[in-house]
Order: sequence, then C-alpha cells, then structure tokens
Amino acid sequence: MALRRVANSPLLTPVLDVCLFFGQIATLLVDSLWFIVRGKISVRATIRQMGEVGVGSLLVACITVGFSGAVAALYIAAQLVQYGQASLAGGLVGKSLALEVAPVITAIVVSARSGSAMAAELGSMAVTEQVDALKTMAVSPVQYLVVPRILGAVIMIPIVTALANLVGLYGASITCELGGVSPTLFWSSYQYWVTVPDQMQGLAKTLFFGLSIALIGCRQGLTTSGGAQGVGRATTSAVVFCSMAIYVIDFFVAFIMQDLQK
Amino acid sequence: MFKDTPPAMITCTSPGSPIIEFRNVSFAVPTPEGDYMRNVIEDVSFVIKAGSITCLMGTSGSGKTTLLRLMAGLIQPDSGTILVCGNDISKMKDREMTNIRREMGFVFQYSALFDSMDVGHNIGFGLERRRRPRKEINAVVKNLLEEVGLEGIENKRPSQLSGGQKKRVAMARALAASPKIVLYDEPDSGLDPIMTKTIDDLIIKIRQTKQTTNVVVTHNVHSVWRIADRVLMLDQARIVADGTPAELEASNVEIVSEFFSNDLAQRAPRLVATG
Repeated sequence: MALRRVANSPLLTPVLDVCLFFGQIATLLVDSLWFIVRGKISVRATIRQMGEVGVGSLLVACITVGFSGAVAALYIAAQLVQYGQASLAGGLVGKSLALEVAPVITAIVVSARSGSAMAAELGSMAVTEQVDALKTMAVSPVQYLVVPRILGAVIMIPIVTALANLVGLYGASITCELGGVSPTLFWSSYQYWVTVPDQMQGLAKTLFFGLSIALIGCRQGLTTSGGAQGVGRATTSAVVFCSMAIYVIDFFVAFIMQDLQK
Repeated sequence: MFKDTPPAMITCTSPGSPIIEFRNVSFAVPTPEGDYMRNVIEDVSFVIKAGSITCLMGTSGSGKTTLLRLMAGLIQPDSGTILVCGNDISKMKDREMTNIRREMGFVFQYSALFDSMDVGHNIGFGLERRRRPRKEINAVVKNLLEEVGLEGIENKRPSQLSGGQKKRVAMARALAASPKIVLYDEPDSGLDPIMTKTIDDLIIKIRQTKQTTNVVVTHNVHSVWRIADRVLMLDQARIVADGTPAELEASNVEIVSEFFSNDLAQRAPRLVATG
C-alpha cells in the first residue's frame, strides 16, 4: 500500500489545526447563511432550539447575574458612600451590568449549558453515523441541525441577557440599600446615567456571542470521531473554545463600539 | 458567495447498463501516528450494472466500507472518477448531490436510526423533508414495515428494538423514497444465521419487486452464495478478484481461496454435528 508523508512537525501541526478550525467555522457560517438567506429554515426545529437555549438557561443566568450584580453593588456602594458619591451607585452598577456583566456571564452560562449540549448531541449523532444518514437522505446536516441552533442562540441570548440584567439590577438595588444607598437614589441614578445606547451595546454583543457559541458547539459536534471518548472530548473542547471566544469577541466588539461612539 | 449551484440531473439507465463506475479511484487517510498518508483505496476501477446485486468482500480494513462511502458521495476520492447514473460525483459538493442522493438508499452497519424519532418518523423522514402529504407518508411507512415483517411498530423508539429489527427498519428507511440504488454496509453484522438469512431474503425480494441496483458489503460467504450476482474481493486497498461466487471459489488468488476455505472450515463442525 502506498504511503506518502504528510506535513508533521511540532511547530506546523498546531498551526494547521488552528487554520482548520477557523476554516471549518467559516464554512459552517457561510453554509448556514446560505440557508438562512434563502429562508430554508425549519420553524419547528428553531422554536425547539429557542426553548433549549432560552428556557433552559434562564434560571441559571438570572441566579448568576443576580448575585454578580449584588456583589458588585456591595463593593461599589460602600466605596461611593465613603466618598460622598452615593448618587453614582445606580449608574455605575447599571452601566457595568448592561455593558459587561450581564452579557458575558449569560453567554458563559449558555455556552456551558447549550454549547456543550450541542457538541454532545451532534457528536453522538456523528459517531453513530446519523449525520451521514441525513446526507444519504439528501438532507443537509447544516440546514437541519446547525441553522436552528444558530437561530435559537442568536434570538434567545439577548432576551435571556435582558432578563438576567433586570434581576442583576434588583439584586444590586437590595445590596445598595444595605450599604446605605436608598432604592430611590439607586434607580434615579440608574435612569440618569444608563442610556438606551448602553443597553443596546450590551445586547448587540450577545448576538455575536450567540453566533459563536452555536458555531463552535456545532463544529465540535459535527467533527467528532472516536466513539464515546470522542464525544466527551468534543463537549469539553466546545465549552473551552466558547469561553475563550466570548472574551475575545467581547473585547473587540467593545473596542469597535467605543470607537463608533466617539 | 451564496451562488446557487444547480443539483446534478439524474439519467439512470435501463437494467444491465452501467449505473456506477469507478475509474482509477484512490483514497488515502492519515496513519494513526499522523505522519503518513495510507491508501485505503488504490487505483480501483470497476463497473456495476443496473439491477444487479454486487457483493464487496474482503478482510477487515481492506477498504470495503470506504468504497461504499465513495459511491454515496460521503467522501471524495483523492484521484480518479466516480460516475453514478452518468454523473461524475468525485468532486461534487453536497448541494449538487441532492438529486443523486434521492436515487440512493444507504443501510448503515449499525443502522444509524435517529434516536430522537420513533420508527415511523425514521422511515418517513426523507419523504417529510420533500414535503410529501402526511397520508402518503403514513401509507409508505405501513407498506414498508409490512414488507420487512415488522407491522405495527411505528410508535416504538429505536432503543426498544433488537439488532435485527433495527437493521430491517434501516432497510425500510433506505427504501422509503424508492431509490434506484441501495447500498448495504454489512447488513448481517452482529446477527444470528437465521436473521442473516431473513436479511438476505429481503435483499433479493427488494431487487425483484423494486428493480434496485444493490451493493452489499459483507464478510459472510453464505450470504454471498445466496444473494450475489457478482463479487468484488478487496485486499490491501485493491480489487484482487472480480466474478461470480462460483468463479471466486475456484480462484487461485491466495486471499480469495483462503477466505472461501476458512468459511468452509467454519461450516465443517456444524456439518459433522448435524450428521
């Protein structure tokens, strides 16, 4: 049997793996957009995914963002009261929640819950040849499996973020009161300092987070090989890659949006 | 970027004419160490005629399943040409394969039934995606389940079925869209001899009633004798023998005679035991 050498060096292999990863993500994105642009969308499957991403993650997101808001307010209120600037508490906590805490923590929660579920589900389908079975039935796995997950994540993460943000604000208002900032002062400060563009900027980020979570989860799932062990690897790597992607995207979107606001 | 490529047109031919053709096809995969590419299929050429039952035989790892996956367009060859119904599928994208795949059914080694659906939905799924009326889909599912001897299990989940039942449901699913070509990847693996014979009888019945072209990957010489018009024997990525079961049994090629004589050796104790 003929053997031919392939590029294999300690330096080159990781570079090729990174190129392959981004190439596959880009291909998945283009293929998905091809179906979305043409309206080839399964409404039922999309609604099911919206439920998986949204309803499934809502409680966890609300608890984590709620307590994060409460903790942030605890520190901030104590410092501001000390310097006689209690009227800034609502604005400061509100801005940090809207721009950073709620979108990022919600995205991390969704990636841990739904990104891993996407990788595990598609991974087990891949290793049991169910993905190949779809292809042989002239059904595109991208259209049937990936597009509903992308739409589910992109539609639901902003909604979950908005609700979690609200819970975070209530958590913050309670702890601010404990720190000596009255709820009236907290909410009036919030209304004065936190603008609609701030809220929009935070929610805009979540669209990119949702897209990256679905693409990475699906890519890791569809490229799974090696049986049950492979599914485990795909699931773990999906969570790791999603978490990294969220922070990288967070920086670049924030950087670009700050630039646009000038 | 979103240019729509028209799917290939199908012009499948009459019984006896070429329906699948491999011309000098090679396919390689990386070795487990990842530093070399090993040819799984090497310079393979053959023609399969419409309406026939062709068995692909060979030792484990000889490239049988890879050959089947190449026929279905699930993987693309590194070199050579694969013609299915007159269309060169060797460089086709998935979207262009749509019409060709609608003429194909594939029975996977481990059935590959969709866990999330019941048996009825598994069988009717392809038709659902083509927006056929629900009434028609239900009728097709009922008929096919009768044909494979599994009436009334539409609402069962794949996890509730035995290995033999799963295989027969997979066959029904492959036949739902009335394909012209049916590819079977080891339909008898993990089954007892009685169930293996049932599956073989079904393959023959399907060919007779639906005029399908059938390609069957198998290790089982009994099945080959029962169903095959022609056998392609693979060894180390190449076709080493091509002919009827009788021609292969008389072959001087070492691996072929070893394969057939080993099977006789396995049969011998049972023949002695039954007197």
